[in-house]
Amino acid sequence: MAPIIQIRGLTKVYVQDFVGVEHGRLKIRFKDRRRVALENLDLDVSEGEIFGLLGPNGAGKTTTLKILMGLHFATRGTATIMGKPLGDLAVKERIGFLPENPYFYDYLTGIEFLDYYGQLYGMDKAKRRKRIPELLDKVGLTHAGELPLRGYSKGMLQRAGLAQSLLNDPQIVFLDEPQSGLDPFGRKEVRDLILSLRDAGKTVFFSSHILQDAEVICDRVAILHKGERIALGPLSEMLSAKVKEYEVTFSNAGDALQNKAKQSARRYVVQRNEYLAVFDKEDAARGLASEILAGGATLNSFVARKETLEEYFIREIEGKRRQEREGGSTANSREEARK
Amino acid sequence: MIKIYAIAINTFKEAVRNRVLYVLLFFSIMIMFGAWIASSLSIEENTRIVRNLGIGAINFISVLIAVFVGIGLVYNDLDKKTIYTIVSKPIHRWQFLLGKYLGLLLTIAVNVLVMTWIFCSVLHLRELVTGDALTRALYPTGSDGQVAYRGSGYHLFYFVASIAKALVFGFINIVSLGFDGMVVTQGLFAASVLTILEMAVITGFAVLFSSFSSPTLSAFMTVIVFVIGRLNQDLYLFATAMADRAGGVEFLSGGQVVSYYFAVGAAHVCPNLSIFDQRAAIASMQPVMVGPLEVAYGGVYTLLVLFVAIVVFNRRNFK
Repeated sequence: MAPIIQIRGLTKVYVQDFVGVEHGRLKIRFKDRRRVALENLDLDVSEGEIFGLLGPNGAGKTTTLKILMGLHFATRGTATIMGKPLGDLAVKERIGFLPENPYFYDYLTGIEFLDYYGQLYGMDKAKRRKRIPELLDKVGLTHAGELPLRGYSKGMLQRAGLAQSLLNDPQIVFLDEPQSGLDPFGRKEVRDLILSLRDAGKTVFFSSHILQDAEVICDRVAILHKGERIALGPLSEMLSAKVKEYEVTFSNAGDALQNKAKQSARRYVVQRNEYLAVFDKEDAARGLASEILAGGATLNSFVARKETLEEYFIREIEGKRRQEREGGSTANSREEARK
Repeated sequence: MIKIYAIAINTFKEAVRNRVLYVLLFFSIMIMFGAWIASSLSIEENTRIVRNLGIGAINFISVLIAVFVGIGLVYNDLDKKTIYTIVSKPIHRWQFLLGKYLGLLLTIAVNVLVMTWIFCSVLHLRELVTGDALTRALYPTGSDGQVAYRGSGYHLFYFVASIAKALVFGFINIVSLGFDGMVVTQGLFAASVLTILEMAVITGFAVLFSSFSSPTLSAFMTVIVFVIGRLNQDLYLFATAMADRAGGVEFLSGGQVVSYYFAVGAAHVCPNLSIFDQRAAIASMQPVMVGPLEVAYGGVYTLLVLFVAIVVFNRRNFK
């Protein structure tokens, strides 16, 4: 089946102005005005999947989304959505978009705001009247429909933004950092909403740096770093299936047991009256657990922990940074040798 | 079309909720009453002063609205990134820009008409509460030829009634599109239509500049276009007179050549806004006509400016 989003060799180079303000100071640039925000990005997203575009700040996530949404023009490369080139109105009618930290006309009430955006989708009055209360209910804003947006909290604005991205019952939803600035409840609601969209057969393409949530909901992810894709694939393949470490937590232990745990564990942490011992080998962890039970102490938990997306992410990014440093120092030493 | 209409109406809503608009409207009313006071200081031609100052105030405030409210409306969408959620909807960029322009023009047109209504009402009120009309009202002559006095309570009633009457007369001036035959407000409606036509051109420039530069620079450039536009004929006359005096362009000195070509260039690039300025005719109670030339010139110039704005806007990346 053809991918619903196809990106090939997408590159974006920004050329900075001659005169700019940097760190509060006026700066005039003649050289080094080019900044590569995205380099040769290739991606395929299949219909019905939740695809996460992950990466640290400045990785190129938002740039990718802006190009897909027709807000920026790519320097090189192509992208298609539903087999059509970017900017095709028929495609725009079938997609929804929520930008990062959205700002809307704050003098409009929630209902007026959705009504306005409904008109931009070309929806007739009867359809808008039916759809708006449904959406307000879906994002939990029914009580605030008559209030102007200027009175909304950040979380409410994010929900209003989500509602506008779903007005046309889109086939693909693009979300840029949908959970940024939300409290744990808000994050959970957004997570559940994304999952419900997938259940309804929609494709969700979202960028995020909240990796715990991405790990829970994404079918596949791509990791970007300084505009380059450094990893791509299903999470199940990307994260090592084998157990990374064993964690034993216990309490009510005597000094002897504590000393033993301290000596045998790779990492040992005391927190109030609870002790955590981390082992690389299963046997060692089991041995301590048996001794805890035999010695009358309380075994609180025994966990075989796999690598998390966050650990994978940090490992990949740090590996890349190390490579760059080494590459840089090799280049420097080559330069010195030439001198 | 429904999308452009939706954007235009939303832009209008945004503008009418802007406090600056009301400050400017209040300011225009102050100028109109100020004109009344100023005219009473003059021995002769006081009607000419009121009409001249009043229509000047409407024109001046309209330019301020086009520049300060207009530029902010387009720039805010770019700066606050509201445009992200609009351009990603199934609309073309030109539809957004055209919707914004029409919304702005609607705001300005409504304001010009409101100011014209207030100004017409001020003129009617001036007629009702000064001179013979006031004397006749307060000291009516009975059938026996005796002059009576209606008492101090009647003064207040008469003033309040005059204000209401003046507002109604002013309203008739507007809804009858100036075809009401009232001498005191003759030509004012036509002048306000000309002002709207002039603002159509200026708003086009405001939208053009704000589609690619900062608000301060946009405001500055729009005001420059307005000033050059108003002085268009003078600039051209200045250049030709300078060349004539020297005996031809080829005899001009270095600095003069620069001045000559700057003046001629500016006069050709900027619109000739003086064709919309009928203050002299208004002040001297001459008939004012909105002819096909003014409509065609305003329309064609606006379309050209909007075309350039759309070309620029279609190519830009939104920060």
